[in-house]
Amino acid sequence: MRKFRSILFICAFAALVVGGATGLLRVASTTPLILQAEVYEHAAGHAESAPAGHAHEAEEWEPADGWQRNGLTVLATMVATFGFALLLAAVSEFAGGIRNWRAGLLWGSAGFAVFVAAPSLGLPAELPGAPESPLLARQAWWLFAAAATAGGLALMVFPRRLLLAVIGMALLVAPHIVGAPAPTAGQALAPALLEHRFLVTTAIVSLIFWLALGAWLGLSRSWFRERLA
Amino acid sequence: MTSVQNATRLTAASSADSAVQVLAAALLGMAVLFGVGFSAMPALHNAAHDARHSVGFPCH
Repeated sequence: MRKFRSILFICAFAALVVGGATGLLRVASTTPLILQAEVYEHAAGHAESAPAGHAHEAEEWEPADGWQRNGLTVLATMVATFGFALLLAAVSEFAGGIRNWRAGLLWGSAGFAVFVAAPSLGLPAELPGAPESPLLARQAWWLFAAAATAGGLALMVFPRRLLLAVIGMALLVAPHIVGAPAPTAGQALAPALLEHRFLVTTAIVSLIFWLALGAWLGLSRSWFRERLA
Repeated sequence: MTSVQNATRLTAASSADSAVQVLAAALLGMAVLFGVGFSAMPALHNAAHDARHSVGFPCH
């Protein structure tokens, strides 16, 4: 269990440091855009005297705006970072592990491609009040895009065979040929300019996050090298 | 059994064991991500709401 414990410890540390910093960055950069979008969403809801199909039903508990809501955003980002770090660390261990922070930047770029670039090509990050389509179908496509991109990249990089690299490329493209579920009802309540700013901001914050996570895992793994050998 | 064979067996066993441990870490990561990003439970959804939108998980 030594290896499992070391991976767990390294990833929990990464969640605290990289996840905590990214959570604060999100509270400062993307949360204000979400709050602006909710103003439009609530205005539309009042105009139609019903919430615009949004999941914030009045009966359900939700955090109060301010410290509680922002604190939970930081906490959720830290938990998500723990999950992403475990996946990145585990996959990289099968390939010999992330040797240093420079290799970590490459692994982080792969994480960005798998979990941000590929899914958001079909399902761009949305503000509250975006047009609706069935959630389960979108979640399934999101997972399909991430898994196919991860598999495709692995086939292109590791086996060093041309045929497998070509199959890898096909895997990269496959989710986008199948296509993400299209919106079935409603229209965006937030102005296009706000939606665009949100898209760009989330992409940049996610890029910083993945590069930092990869580099940090490479650094901290070198501190625990003999335990992971 | 020669010591070389013995050593080979030991190495194979320990690398299989370490593969299981790495796999367990990956499965734990998926479970954690499901909870924070995909679970439909309203309390979890509302708590992680802004983080889900910012990560790019499908949310509503």
